[in-house]
Amino acid sequence: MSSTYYFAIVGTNDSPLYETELGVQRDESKYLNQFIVHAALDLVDDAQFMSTACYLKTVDRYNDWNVSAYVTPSNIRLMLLHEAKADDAIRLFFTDCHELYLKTLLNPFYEPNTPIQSQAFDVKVNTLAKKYLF
Amino acid sequence: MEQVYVKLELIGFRIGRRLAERFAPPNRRLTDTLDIVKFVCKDIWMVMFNRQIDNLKTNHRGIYVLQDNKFKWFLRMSGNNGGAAAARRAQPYIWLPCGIIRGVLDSFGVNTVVIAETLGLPQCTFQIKVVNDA
Amino acid sequence: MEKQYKAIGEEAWKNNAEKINAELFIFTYGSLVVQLVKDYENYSAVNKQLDKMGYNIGVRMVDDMMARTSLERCTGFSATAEVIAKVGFKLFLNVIPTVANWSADAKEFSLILDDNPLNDFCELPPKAVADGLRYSNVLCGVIRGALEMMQMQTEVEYVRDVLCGDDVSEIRVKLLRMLDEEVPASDD
Repeated sequence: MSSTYYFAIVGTNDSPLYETELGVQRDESKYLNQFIVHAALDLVDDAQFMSTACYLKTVDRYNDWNVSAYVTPSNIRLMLLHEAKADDAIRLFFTDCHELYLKTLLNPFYEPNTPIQSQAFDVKVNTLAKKYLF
Repeated sequence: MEQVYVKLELIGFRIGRRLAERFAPPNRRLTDTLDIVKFVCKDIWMVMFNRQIDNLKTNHRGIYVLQDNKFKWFLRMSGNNGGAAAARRAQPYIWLPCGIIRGVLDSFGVNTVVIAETLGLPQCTFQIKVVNDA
Repeated sequence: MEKQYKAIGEEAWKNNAEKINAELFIFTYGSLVVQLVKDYENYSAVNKQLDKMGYNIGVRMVDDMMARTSLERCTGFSATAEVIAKVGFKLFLNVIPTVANWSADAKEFSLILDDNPLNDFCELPPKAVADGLRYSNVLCGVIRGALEMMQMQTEVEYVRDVLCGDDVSEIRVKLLRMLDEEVPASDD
């Protein structure tokens, strides 16, 4: 089964800290992905008030995309665009990505809320995607 | 001295941001400011000093007062010219924890000013003032 | 002899060392280094500053270590090396570096650090690697300060560092000369 995902980490000031396309590239440009994620942030805010859980499941839909979200304790949003529903797999993916983000944050030279530029981070996200999403 | 204060406070702030994300309760987000302050009094104080804050007071309008009756870094201090002089010399030691408290709260989106004073070693009182309660 | 130091270190770590949360310690050190980088904007100046801080810690640490152990004054430089590794590092960092690469005149040795808690989580920015930041340089200062209190004047520096891409971390300790017993003011 081949499918496409778009994964983004959004900082507290709504700026993207990290983004990547996973799987088959689709026709739509990454700008559309960014747009969908950005539009869903308001819905994440709403969902946050309803629940104190980190994993907010699917918060929005756009055409055949689902938007799932996960909020860390310090209000960093992990966002995933996906076609098929797979709550459990996505929860595990988010949880492990949160762990990865935490390791990045613990590096004294990383300034919170700034773009994540580490190559190693990128490689690890792709490994996690393979493990849980494909 | 002013410069020493700024630097120690900033070092503390960076530590606090990391402690917050690292020791935040798993899979549950803290949203209420009082809960976040309690997290500082219990979990963060435990990590730092192996004990909890002795007393927490609030006016429910954005001011929280944390009292530690046996502040660990004061335990081995004593002054030869009485309490007041010793307390003044101990001042720099509380700037770092002030920054840590501010950093932890900032991680949860709560903007604060934190000051501390001692009325007599080894007692220490921290006052947290919320600047904008989101 | 080596066994005995190991036992002394273990014993002191277990019974006489006050423990603090490792992550708090690591975050604090990291935050301190980053502050120095911001202040000095020059990595070799940061190295120097870390060394100086370490020196000030080291001169106080010796007494602390003696108070927590049943150690007697070391009889030679090779015993000193063993004590640094098996008692000093064990007591304060809970790791034991390997003593290796002795020079022919027995005045220089290396400490090979397989594990250094200070380095945990740390990933240096490329610029810091290129300009030779020695992130854990405080350790060199500590060793130098501690040895000076034992009347040994030394030169201590990082020669390899995993954070800069080397396969191991290696601290080189070189004995310059023995100081005269009567000089230090702190002698009681």
